[in-house]
Amino acid sequence: MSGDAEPEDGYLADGATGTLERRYRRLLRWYPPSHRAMHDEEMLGVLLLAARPGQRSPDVALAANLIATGLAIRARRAVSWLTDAQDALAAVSLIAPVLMFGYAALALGKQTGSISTRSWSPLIIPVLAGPAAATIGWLAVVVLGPAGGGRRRGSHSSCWRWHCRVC
Amino acid sequence: MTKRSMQEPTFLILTALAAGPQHGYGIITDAADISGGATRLQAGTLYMALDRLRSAGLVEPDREEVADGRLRRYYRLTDDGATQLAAETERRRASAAVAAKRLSMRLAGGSA
Repeated sequence: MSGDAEPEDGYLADGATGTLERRYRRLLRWYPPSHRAMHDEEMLGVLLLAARPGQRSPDVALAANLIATGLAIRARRAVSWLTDAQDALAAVSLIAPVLMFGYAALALGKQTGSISTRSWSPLIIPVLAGPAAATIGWLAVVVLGPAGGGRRRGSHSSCWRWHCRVC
Repeated sequence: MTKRSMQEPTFLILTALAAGPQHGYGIITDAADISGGATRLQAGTLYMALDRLRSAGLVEPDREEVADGRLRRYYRLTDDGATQLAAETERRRASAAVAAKRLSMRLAGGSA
């Protein structure tokens, strides 16, 4: 409790301030890693500047505020990641049917003899690579698509319904 | 987003940065001054707001300094931030003007 009553001494990481700093650092773990990498030291500076001389533990209200806001930022990051992922899945779900259709048309053309493999050879590789990528992307849409509840825009949910009808 | 009224912490943070860049603790003390001591921003509230305002493009980091062995990052208002603050200021001014007018009507005897 004694020793570092002067604010200047407050920056030495020993005694009361060392204890307070350790407790603040523990509370900052509630923030997401991406935020911590950028702001941990900065926030610690603010927290210690605002501390009372000789203070050893965070106020309950401040601790609750740090936990709540840390979780809120985590939630915000998670939501933005999910919506980004949904956008990517929506794009795949639009492209996949085109690639699959192209592959089917080519296969049909070869079987019926209307398309010779040799004349189409430059197109074979991308078209054959298509179904694998398309199938993986399409499966991702099927598995992950409903997770977001189709909350955003029309494109994704309509793609989702379209795929359901197709399969 | 632009039509919705701004939350008090957001308004205070943008106002604190309007005249020039400030670091986190400076924003907290300035916000308390601006609000006449009514609002004391908690560090968590400040950094959650800064995180949101930064991704919305209303504030951005200005520079970093080391004071007493601690990192201080300064933030500044962007042009978009200034525009939004100006809009909010005008909205509040208009509301306050209406309130003042109604109160004067009440003092004058509540004439219709």
